Amino acid sequence: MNWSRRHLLSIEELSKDEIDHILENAFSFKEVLLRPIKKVPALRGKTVVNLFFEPSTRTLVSFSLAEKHLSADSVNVSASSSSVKKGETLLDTAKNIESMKTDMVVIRHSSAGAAKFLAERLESNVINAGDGTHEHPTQALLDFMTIKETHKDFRNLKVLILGDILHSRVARSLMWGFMKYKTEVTLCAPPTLMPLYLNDFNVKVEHDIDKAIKDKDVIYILRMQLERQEKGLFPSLREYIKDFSMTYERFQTIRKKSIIMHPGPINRGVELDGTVADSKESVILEQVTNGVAVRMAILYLLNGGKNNE
Amino acid sequence: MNNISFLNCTVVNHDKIKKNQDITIKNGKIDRIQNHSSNSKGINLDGKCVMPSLVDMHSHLREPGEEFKEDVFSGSFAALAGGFTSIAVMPNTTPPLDNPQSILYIKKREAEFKNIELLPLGALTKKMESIEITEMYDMLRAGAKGFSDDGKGTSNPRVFMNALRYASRFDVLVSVHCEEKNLSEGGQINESGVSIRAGLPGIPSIEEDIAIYRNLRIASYLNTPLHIAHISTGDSLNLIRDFKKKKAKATCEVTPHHLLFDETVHYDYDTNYKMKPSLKSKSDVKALLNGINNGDIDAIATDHAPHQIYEKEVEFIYAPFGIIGFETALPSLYTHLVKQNKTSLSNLVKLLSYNPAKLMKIDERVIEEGNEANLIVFNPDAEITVNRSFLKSRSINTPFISKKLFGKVEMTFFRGRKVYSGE
Repeated sequence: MNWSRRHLLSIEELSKDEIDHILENAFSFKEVLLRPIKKVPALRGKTVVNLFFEPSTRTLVSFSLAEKHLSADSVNVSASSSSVKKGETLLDTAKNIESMKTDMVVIRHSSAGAAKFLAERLESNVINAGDGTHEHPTQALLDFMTIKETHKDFRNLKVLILGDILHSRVARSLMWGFMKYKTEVTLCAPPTLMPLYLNDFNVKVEHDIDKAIKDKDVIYILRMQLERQEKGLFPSLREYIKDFSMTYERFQTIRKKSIIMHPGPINRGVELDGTVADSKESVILEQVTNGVAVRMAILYLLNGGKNNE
Repeated sequence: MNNISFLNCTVVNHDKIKKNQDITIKNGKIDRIQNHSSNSKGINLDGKCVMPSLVDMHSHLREPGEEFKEDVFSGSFAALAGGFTSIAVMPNTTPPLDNPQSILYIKKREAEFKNIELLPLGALTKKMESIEITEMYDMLRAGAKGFSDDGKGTSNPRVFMNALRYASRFDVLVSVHCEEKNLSEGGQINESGVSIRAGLPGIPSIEEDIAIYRNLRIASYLNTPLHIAHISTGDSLNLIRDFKKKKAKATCEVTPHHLLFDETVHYDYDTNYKMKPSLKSKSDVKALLNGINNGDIDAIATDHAPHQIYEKEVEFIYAPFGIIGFETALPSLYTHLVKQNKTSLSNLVKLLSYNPAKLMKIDERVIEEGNEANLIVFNPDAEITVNRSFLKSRSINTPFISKKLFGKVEMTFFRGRKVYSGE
């Protein structure tokens, strides 16, 4: 297919064919990752800025490695070290950086729409590495890639997304993607952490985890954030764990070929039992590996899908 | 004082439209109105509209304190350009208008500008903190035209009840911003499928009618009038209608933007649509539109709220709430409602001039012999482009920016004097 997008802002805007195309490329790049010398010249001479306004280890390292494997030169700017705290606006920061002749900007930000905001105002290609509670498209893409490794056909797949759906950009990106594949998606969370309006999403809602985890091929567990308790959205970790955690006991009742996924970082013993996280059903570390491959594919495609040789 | 005559005008009042009229203004008053005669001398308007100048019940001029956004001069000039010659200014400045001296300051600035009538609303509570009530009597003597804790509401119901009761003997407007802060706090836009999809924290729409119910219940208990500022939902309107049916002295206003936009604009994250109250659903817009046509809504007010570009051109969650409205109110309503046959021009005159003048207890806004010559010449066929040079406000935070609208305020007259010319 012909790739024409300049930016990757959301899963919502992608077609199924575009997602498949990214994944095909990602599988090729995964082969590169398995070589002793993990470098191709696809982005040689290109400059990528990783603008991270929210703390992140895994996503930042993943993007940085993807950029290095493609021979791009990259710089990381994090909120604490940038001029943002001195009162400069995001737009000024981005324009100043772009004036240093950069080609691509990867942005993570706590405001929904931040990536789109830059894409509309900069010449560079913009990649959304997570914007508020809106979307986290590269995460969903690496998740789809990971699922593809065990389940080729998304149409007959049963997926459960478990945890804080309301505040999750990962959940939104996953839902948009699965809808394109007509995958059956069930959401499970306390009602206070579930969106009140799900009209735009074709999903099932089940508040009983023991019912929800049955017969699922993919159990996707979201990170639980403690600040939600302070805001009165759930009463205590103790009750959350009893009611919504993937405990070892629950794990023993799931379907044999199910896989356990998590976007990281895991709160061991909170949303996910440590033994389950380390079990052979868990593909959590595979997700991390695929993250590098998917990000290489995206950088490569946004750069025009050519090798800069 | 100079006399001026307009020939061949279409006179648009709140209750009727009369074509081919000649109007003479003398000594600040409308001296004569008669059928057009070819012998008369004066400015031939070729059928353009002459209507009462507009009255805004709700605006923010940002002075004192935030003159980088707007001040009395820039805001007043913007108001005149939009056809408003009387504007209520809200007290949420820095410091707030919560004492007689600050009201005197606004009146002094009005006198310096000369060409507009400012109707300062004093705060109901000191520092708008909802603890102690203000010196209302003295503020009225200084020139206040009513009271409000706009932007904050008066959170403590006991304090609000006392304030309303204390104000009741003055027979002036008390306007209340209805927002249940415990429900709206932290939210960015209306809670709905749109907020979920856009990933922006939602504000449940019931926060508005819950606050309206509390405030109207207090007013009806005291049997005092109360004006509800900027309503945005069908539920709020139904509630107010119910109170009116029970003979409560309730009135309400709506902004042009709540009549013209719904929440689906938020998929683009344009901060020029970020305001309080938030934009609501298509059915709410329909209900409000119904409300302006059946008389349930008493006034249209701009809630002119200037913010600088650099404050608005930021990430959505960091942008301040509010948009400007003086210059675009009449053209946008004319273009999107009158031209689409959703309401009449007479009804706009009623809601933007006649009714608000009554509620503010100022001169009668009817083009009629003997009335003050507060009027505008409006050309419904002229096209305008909303851009930096068209906007007289210091700030340009409007969703109409770069857009074209029909309807141009060509002249604004204040007490018989031409105070704005848009040609």
